[in-house]
Amino acid sequence: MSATPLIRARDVMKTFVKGGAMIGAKKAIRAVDRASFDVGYSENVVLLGESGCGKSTLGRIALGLLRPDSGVVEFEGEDIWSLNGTDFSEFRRNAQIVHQDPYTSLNPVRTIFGSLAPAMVQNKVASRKDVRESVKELLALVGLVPPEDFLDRYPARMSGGQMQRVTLARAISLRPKFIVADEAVSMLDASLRLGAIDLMLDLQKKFKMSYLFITHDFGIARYFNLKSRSKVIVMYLGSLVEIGDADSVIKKPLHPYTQVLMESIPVPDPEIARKRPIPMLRSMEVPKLEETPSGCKFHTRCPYAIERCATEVPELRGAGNKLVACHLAEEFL
Amino acid sequence: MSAPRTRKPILKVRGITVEFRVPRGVLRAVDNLDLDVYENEVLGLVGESGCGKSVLAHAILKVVDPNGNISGGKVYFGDTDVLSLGKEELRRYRWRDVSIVFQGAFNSLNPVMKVFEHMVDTTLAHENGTKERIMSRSDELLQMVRLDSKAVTDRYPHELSGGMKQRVVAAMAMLLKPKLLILDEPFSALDMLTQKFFLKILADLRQQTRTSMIFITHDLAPVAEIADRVAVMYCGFIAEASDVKEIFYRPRHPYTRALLSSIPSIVGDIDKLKPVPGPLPDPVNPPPGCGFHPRCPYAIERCSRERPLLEEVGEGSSVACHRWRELG
Repeated sequence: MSATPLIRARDVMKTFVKGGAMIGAKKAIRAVDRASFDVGYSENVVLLGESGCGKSTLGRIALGLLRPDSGVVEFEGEDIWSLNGTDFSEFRRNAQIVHQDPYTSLNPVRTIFGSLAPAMVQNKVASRKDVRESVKELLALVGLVPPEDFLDRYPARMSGGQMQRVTLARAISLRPKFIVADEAVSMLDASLRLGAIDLMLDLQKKFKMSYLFITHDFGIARYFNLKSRSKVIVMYLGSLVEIGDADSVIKKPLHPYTQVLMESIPVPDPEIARKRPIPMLRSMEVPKLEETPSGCKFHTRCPYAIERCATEVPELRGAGNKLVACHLAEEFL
Repeated sequence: MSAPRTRKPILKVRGITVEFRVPRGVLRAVDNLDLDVYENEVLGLVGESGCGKSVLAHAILKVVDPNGNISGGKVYFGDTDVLSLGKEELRRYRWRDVSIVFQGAFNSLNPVMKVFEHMVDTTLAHENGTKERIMSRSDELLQMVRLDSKAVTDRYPHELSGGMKQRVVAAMAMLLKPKLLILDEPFSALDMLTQKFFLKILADLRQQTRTSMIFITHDLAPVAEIADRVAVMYCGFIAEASDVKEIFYRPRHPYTRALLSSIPSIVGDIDKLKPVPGPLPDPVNPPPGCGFHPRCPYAIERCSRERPLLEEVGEGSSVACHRWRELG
């Protein structure tokens, strides 16, 4: 790795403890298990995984909203957890989030202006005098036109698509370098999703930001990549199993989990859909998070698993033009 | 797949309208809607959130929330006029003629009842039966949904995974051999690999039992795989209903076209995708005329004035658009 990336995460671990207060024993859930990845300047990284795989936790760690139990998160080469107060605030300004649910991520008793303006004044993005103009510009930028119509509205009087635009406006309002979009379009209706992605990528071109785009939808990842070349990280039960450029991960997945996932995704084409075979899996049961399998976490379901997979954890390593955490990766090249 | 025309509808929905009182006024969730479901057919009912698809399903069972009412129209199951049924007749109709797996139903299994107790409870609520008979029916169904009945029967819901619970609920819905099974968003909480498996199970279940199904979802992809016919719903009305291949390869309604060209998939030409312009309509103040006209690239003046009725355009195909002929 040559130049310093914008975000650099190494061996990040996060464990949550579940239960124990009333009944049953405490259970440790390893949400993120020794994850390492980079996000470059103006780079798009799509973090793919199914619900419960830890992708949101990893996103929150990358933003400094959660402190990992161990491992390092660096922003522009500096460990974010050893920054002093001022520098940490500066990092926070630079790293913003767009939440999944636009309906609950805006304060219902504040107008749109009231939601956006204070942070802009406090961070000196706009002066108290000009802030109304600045918020208007911002709203116009995210396609809420005419902005005067939205400035003094409460979220309850907006549609989901409009609210999502406001949360996007809020995320870019402090001119960050890094945005984590956590399933930012999955709550939107199908007919509104592409428009929201197009908007995000337009803004990226204008402001030179990097995105960590978290989603469970390969189709969305593919569209993202079409519009702006992206890197894909595939996550399964807390571990990163495959990293590579989106084209190659989608066209030729190497990790058996990614392969099976690609075969399982329903496709909106009756002829193709009916020809696709059921992927071979050793088990249909998803392991419980508190009892993840030993060795490779996918071995209990993996059609190719060998003895070694049950005992030895596969490290992420180069295979072809990707990084893959599978003992058999070379065989799939 | 036989032509729908040679089969007869088992369910006919005619001019159904369902309204809800909400603080801002009256929300017409389903607006003068017609729909047929044929024998031994899987009908995919597709639409975005808030289009009224769940409300329609509830109306078919004459279930409505307290603030709503079915203000017009008829539902015929065979020759039975469902909406005029009395309490006792409804109880027989529900679950025995038509059963439904509600959205998120697998989370509503009773946590202190074992799987087998659920089966007994459900059966006895609708008909008499001996424990042995229910047991053998239950075993048969659990096997059909590929669960090991011995291992599952005596378990509590918390001992089962989400995918297993979903299959238990599907088996329960089939207990009384309904002729029509409605599944409302059956995948919403399933892991992708489990979804694919569940689709296969449903297809097998249908093969073995010849039960018709209405498969309600916001996602067109699973419908492409399992449905024989598809009804596309928008803003309380059916925009288009047709054979699954017609819908996907020769969509007639501009909304179907727009929706299909806005779904990024892992197959097909992704570079031809384009977003559907404009926001979804406000359900309390829907646009006059055709509900889709403010977003429709082909809208003419008439579309904002006159609501297009669903008209038959071919074997089992119908479309609600003034301009479908010109658009080809």
